[in-house]
Amino acid sequence: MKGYRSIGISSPRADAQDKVNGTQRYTGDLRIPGMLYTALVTSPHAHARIINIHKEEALEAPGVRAVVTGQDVPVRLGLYLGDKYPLAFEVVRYFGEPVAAVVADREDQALAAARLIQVEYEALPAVRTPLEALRPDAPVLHPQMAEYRHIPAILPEPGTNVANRTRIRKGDPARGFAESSVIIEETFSFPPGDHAAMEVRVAIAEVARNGVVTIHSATQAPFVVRSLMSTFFNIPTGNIRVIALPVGGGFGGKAGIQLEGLAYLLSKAVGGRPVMVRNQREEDMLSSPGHIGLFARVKIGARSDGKLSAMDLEYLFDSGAYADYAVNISRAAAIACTGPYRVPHVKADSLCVYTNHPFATAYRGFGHIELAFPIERAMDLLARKLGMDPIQFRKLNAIQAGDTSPTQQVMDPNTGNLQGCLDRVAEQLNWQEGDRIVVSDNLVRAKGVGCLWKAPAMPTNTDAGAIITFNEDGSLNLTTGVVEIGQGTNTGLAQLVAERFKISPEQVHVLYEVHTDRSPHDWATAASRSLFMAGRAALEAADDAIAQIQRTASIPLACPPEDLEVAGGRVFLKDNPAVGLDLSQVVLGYQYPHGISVGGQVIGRGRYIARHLTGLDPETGKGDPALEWTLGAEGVEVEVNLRDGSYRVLKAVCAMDVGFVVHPALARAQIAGAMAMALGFASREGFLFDERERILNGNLRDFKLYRYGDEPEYLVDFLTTPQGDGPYGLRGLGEQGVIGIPPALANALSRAIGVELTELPLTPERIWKVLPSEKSKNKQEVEE
Amino acid sequence: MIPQNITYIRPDTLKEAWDAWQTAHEQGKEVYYLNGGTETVTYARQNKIHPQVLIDISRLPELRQLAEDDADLVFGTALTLHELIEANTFPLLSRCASIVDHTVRNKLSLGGNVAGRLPYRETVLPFLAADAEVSIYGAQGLRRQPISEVFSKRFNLEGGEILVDLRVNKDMARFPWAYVRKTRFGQPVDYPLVTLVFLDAGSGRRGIRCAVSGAFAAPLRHGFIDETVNEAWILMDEKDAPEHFKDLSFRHEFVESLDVPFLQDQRASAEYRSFLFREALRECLIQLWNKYEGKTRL
Amino acid sequence: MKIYEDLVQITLRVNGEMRQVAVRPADTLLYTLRENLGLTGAKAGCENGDCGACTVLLDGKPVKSCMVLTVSTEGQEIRTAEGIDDEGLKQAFIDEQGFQCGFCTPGFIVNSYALLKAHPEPDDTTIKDWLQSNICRCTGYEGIHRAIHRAIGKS
Repeated sequence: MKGYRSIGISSPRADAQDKVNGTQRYTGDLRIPGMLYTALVTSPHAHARIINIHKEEALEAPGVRAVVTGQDVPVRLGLYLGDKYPLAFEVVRYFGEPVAAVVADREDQALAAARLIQVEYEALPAVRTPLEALRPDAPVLHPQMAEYRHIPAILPEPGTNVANRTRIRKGDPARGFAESSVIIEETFSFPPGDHAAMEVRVAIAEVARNGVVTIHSATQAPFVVRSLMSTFFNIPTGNIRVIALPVGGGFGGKAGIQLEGLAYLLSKAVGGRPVMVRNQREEDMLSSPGHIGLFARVKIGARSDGKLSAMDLEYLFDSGAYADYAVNISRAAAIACTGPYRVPHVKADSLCVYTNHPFATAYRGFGHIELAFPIERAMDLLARKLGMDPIQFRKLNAIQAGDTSPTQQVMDPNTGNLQGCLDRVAEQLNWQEGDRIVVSDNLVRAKGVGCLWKAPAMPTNTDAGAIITFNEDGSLNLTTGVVEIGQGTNTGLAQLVAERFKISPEQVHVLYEVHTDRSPHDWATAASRSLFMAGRAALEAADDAIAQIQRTASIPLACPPEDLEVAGGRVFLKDNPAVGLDLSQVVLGYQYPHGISVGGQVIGRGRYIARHLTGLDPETGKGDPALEWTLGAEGVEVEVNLRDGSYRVLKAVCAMDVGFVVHPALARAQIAGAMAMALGFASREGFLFDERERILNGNLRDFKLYRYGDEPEYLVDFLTTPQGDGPYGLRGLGEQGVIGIPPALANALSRAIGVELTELPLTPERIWKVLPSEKSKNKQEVEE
Repeated sequence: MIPQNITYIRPDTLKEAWDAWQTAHEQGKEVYYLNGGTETVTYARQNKIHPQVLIDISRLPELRQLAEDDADLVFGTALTLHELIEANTFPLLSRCASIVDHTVRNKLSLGGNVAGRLPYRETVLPFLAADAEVSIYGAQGLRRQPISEVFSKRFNLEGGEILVDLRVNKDMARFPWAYVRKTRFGQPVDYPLVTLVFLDAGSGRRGIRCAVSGAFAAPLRHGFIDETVNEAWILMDEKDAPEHFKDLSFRHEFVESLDVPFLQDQRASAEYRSFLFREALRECLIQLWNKYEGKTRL
Repeated sequence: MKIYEDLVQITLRVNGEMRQVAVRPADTLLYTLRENLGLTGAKAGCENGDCGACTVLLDGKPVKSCMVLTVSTEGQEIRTAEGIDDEGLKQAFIDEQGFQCGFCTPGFIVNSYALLKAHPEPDDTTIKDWLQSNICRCTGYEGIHRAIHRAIGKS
């Protein structure tokens, strides 16, 4: 690969041996001396007033150290909008909301005591959908919204159920529609769901006698946890240490703040002793936040030449009972609202709406996966109306450098090659044989595509850092603030540093734990920006270390520092490599034979802060919020049974412009995993509610996930239009693989059955219900 | 994690098991027999049951029987589903036992499946179709009864009675059969929307026995289903050409006459279950037909 | 006849070693392995028999330890991920990206080990029958599929 030695190869993961031997420790495996255990009592109602909580019996139960309710901890927290108590205070707003917590010596004692707690409720009518929540007569779920602290970028509307509204006003949509020769108007929707990472959330908190708070947490965002805890609980930032061990799957669900605040409050309730709060699976799915739902209205117009002219979009996000990350998801969806297309006239309103559903947090794709479903379905509807091939239609309208995004940000020269991605997807799907092939009387094969784009939705001062230190043998230690969540960024970072030092990646020891009191600051391991930003920081740290090595070595080697090269574990004269020193002789200072030492230890320092990011104008959305856009195209081939609506996914394909591939096998594995997750989301996941808005499938028995053997054949290709400011030209890819798949699946299935599908999940029964009646034999019977 | 304290008893004989159950019951304790334990342990964690005493019968030799005598195949109720599949002495039973997932099948017992709390009981279907006999241990010791006398929707036993084994006539176990199982996403690790079995016992033109689970609230063997299926079979026989039968369908009136409501729940509507049930009938008929290689069996 | 109440001391055979443990009759094997024996490879992914992260071997057969009472395993041979000695299988998982976050991996390793012992050259139907017992949320199963085939190829 272009003469690189450490990047562009599939380097072994340093965490491999522990993971395959069962010796990798996760937060839930930790046992701290004196640690106490927690059990939660959660709400059986979607919406109710709490009348009374009887905890006397529980307090008497064996081993119990504390029983805490919302009355004891009336502090409102929130990532962007402070709307939630750690334990429900006076009102419960979703099925599964934690109402009380028991802390006991042993887990079984905590659970036994929790069962003794009686809670009296007065049930209230539940708000079931964003549409319902927006009706003028809807119950206002947060009557105290005006008092909530929030960041300036979020615009809540007190007196309503709107937690945030983001407006995009670009061009002149009225004119755009007037110039359109075809217009489609349609609504699309899907319910809230769950990340269902294999590791459930867990946090351990303790407060030392000197006031230092230590939190171990399965978190993607240790520095966010520290910062929020400092703000909400008035603790000096330096008195909080958050420790992030490797995480068993995040997917956004472990970003932001999760159980840490509650764990801290419980620890305080027992005099600072360490307290573990660990979710049961059912709590992880319902009590902790999940995947946001959406109801979307789209109206899109195109000219007779096939060029998109105008979009009028309304995204009503089902945030659930609390806002958490959802207010930013709706904002991110506004920023990217059109999908990766050139659209001169855009009117979009993206609302984050409260309902009495379990609440939502960041989920892989962050607003982009949600908006892609209505947009990419609409693109197919338009193509059909225009009589154009769906791939050609998308190519014609693909956004390019020089075009403007919905926020009127000019797409810079780093913009990926979406047309190239579409061409590749066409090859992967064998598009030229046709997109609908009859296999037999009842079986049809069909194909569908969906494009993707995503930029990180992050604060304008998002940053990363890196520190490189050395060992006596000349090997390197790399510390960043990036959490290992399975994505293997640590391996990529080791490769980048190894490339600079011209050594093998195994000689770079990456620290796999983040300790906020000693790791460099990093915004969060989210938004698929870690390799990009921590990579830039790591490269700066490498260059900084190399400069220090040159300076130290220049003394005994008696030469200008710039005459020296660092490679292969040595520092030597560029023009006479035989003259040099082993790094082991230099990195902790150089010691002359007679004893005198010079130079001191090498400490490489690197940092990177997001460049040129701005906020959005509140009226038009105009601004430059996007660090870098990753573009791509995806597709799905299905085989559908036209009798009963069942189907198999034969192929899932992806062509993504990632700029540069540091670790080919890991990059592919990320995309494959993302496509599987998206197929699960699109085909079978999603909460099911009863008539009282209680969830029926809040466990892994009935929240069906993809299993071994369900997966299709994966085809993955990468394009490499360089990202000028990314390390070696790379840009983010961890999330993006989910984005285009749900609409691609819906497009393929709609093509197969000849009926437009507008709701997820795409279950066989849902398809069967709309099958043309002569195919599905439910409506009439054939004489025997 | 089961929070409450439990007394665990592992008896060595059926009598000890029976006595232990009676004692616990007389003391007013919530007592259950423990076989594979898969259901009991998870239900206790979920706070659905609150066992105070568990009596482990999974090692009792009478319940571990996998045997045959002159006439019958005997299946002890402490055999795991995997053991039933591996033995494969009753192929239709092996198919019906291929449920849940592989690792759960290494613990889930025949008794746990046919006499547990979940309503599907798929491994009871071949025994219903084959007119099996069951052995029960009760106050009067061990007795044997036809399954139809003790099973209606579920096993109706007296408190503390132990289901010891199920036995089928060897010929029955070897007759041609058909099996169709439908789940909501075609993913086997799921509760059934429909599991339908046919067992063709010959004996004239009306020998097919049908048993179904998943479509209704409980496993069902119903004379009207048997009758309708046998009539359809006779018609197929007369037409003697499988190509006709891709359009074979069962009329709406059939399900209405059946007068057993289809199950409606989060997994599927009653309407879809009704449709899938009729699809399954069709598919089982064609499957059975193909076993005869298209030749008449009359 | 055995009667166990409150807390009992029993002996378990775990990874080839005899281990004395004090357990509640209500304790699951998963709990005992993790809490009493420090064998944290088996994970509490759901404690409902759905996810397979708790998979261990009982007398060589893969089972979900969250559904098994410790007291019912007396006399049986227990083997956990930490005690699997098939280096070829583990290396195959490493070489083929058969894991990412690693949380489901011990369960997959244990189940795959038992699969290959029972069927040294399993066909895809058999592999699917066994491995659909375990859920992975990261890999989309492609890496796991390749790992199994690589492991079969080696032996």
